[in-house]
Amino acid sequence: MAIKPVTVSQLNEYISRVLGTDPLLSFVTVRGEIEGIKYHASGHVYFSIADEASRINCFLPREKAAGLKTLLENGDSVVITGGVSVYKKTGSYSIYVREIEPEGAGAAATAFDELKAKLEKEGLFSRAHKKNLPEFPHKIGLVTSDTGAALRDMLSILDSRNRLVDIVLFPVLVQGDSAAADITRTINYIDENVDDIDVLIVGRGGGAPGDLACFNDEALARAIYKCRIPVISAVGHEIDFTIADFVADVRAETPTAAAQLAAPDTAEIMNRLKAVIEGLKAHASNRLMYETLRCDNLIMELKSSALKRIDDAEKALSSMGTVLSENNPKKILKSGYSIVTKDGKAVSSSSELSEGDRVEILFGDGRAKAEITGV
Amino acid sequence: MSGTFEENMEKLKELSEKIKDRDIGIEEAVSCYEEGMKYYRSCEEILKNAKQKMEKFEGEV
Repeated sequence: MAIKPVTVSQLNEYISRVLGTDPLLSFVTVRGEIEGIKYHASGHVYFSIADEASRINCFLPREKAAGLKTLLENGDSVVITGGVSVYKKTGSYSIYVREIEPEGAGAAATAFDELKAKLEKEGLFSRAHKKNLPEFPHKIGLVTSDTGAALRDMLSILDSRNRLVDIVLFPVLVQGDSAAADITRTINYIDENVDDIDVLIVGRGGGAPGDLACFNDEALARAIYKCRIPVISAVGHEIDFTIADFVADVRAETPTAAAQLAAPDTAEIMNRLKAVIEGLKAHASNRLMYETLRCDNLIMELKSSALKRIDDAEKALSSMGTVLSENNPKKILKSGYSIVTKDGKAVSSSSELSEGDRVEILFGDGRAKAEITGV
Repeated sequence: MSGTFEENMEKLKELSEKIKDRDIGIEEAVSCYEEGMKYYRSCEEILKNAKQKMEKFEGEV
């Protein structure tokens, strides 16, 4: 015998340590059918789960058993999450149950898919029904737990982005059996009684799938659909999708993202405004310059046109004046010429006269009578 | 003498046509001249005013 024998206790102690430090065995999810269930007087529940060929003992401690929603019975198909541990007294091992659900994730997932399909068919997820978020909300309603991380995250974002927007908190349960009804009632209340809220954020921080289950509630989905105020859903993390996400007007990946979507960044708005004002100024100044030039040009044109008109008029007038002066009879007479008239009319040709005609001669300063003695 | 430049100018044209007509009497020709000169002065006055106004505006622009 080369090896020194160990005691039974030592062996079980060693096995316990090996199993207890194995990462897979300390957190395992296993599916099976319940056998040999026993509700012990201490409140603990003992049973096994089995498949066709194999079985394993399970131990459900009293505090977990108290949270059971339905009575576990032999033959139930369940999914168990827990750690494998060794009971050193009998050298047996069992699953120390942390969570137990009726076949399970499966059942919940099926219910989820069925509800999703049903509501989709009814048009609750229709894009056409989705409302746009207000660009500049005055008041944001937060429907979430007043103690959760989600509220803290959202307030911190809102505080840093936008000091102008008012925030109203509607505290609700976001976990547990009555959470869905509480959130539904609150949304309906806001929809019917509050008329100064521009956008609602409904949500909670991340958690186990079971913790988010209240957001997969049908009545809640209908309340969100009916709500006349735009609703942003903000449930859990990026990877979590709930019915509320599908029916909400906008789905935010996280409460933080929801706060960013709901409230515009005032600093960014100021920058945008400044850019617009600068643009306006530049445009106005350019326009002014352009119009000034145009006016100058017009005025020059106008002036030259007016001057040309005057000039033309002057020329026309001057030629008229020349005509008048040239034909002024007195001027001609003053320079030594005289006019011969016969019967009051000027004689312009000697052929108009014959011997013996009596004529009158007009001078610049008088007239004289004469008789034609020869032509 | 009143009326627009064009009215005065029209009269002036008529009179300068008439004064060229050898068939009119000498007295009529003289009165044509005298009347024509009145219209001429009137036109001149209107043009002078117009020029002055232009100069005034020039100072303003």
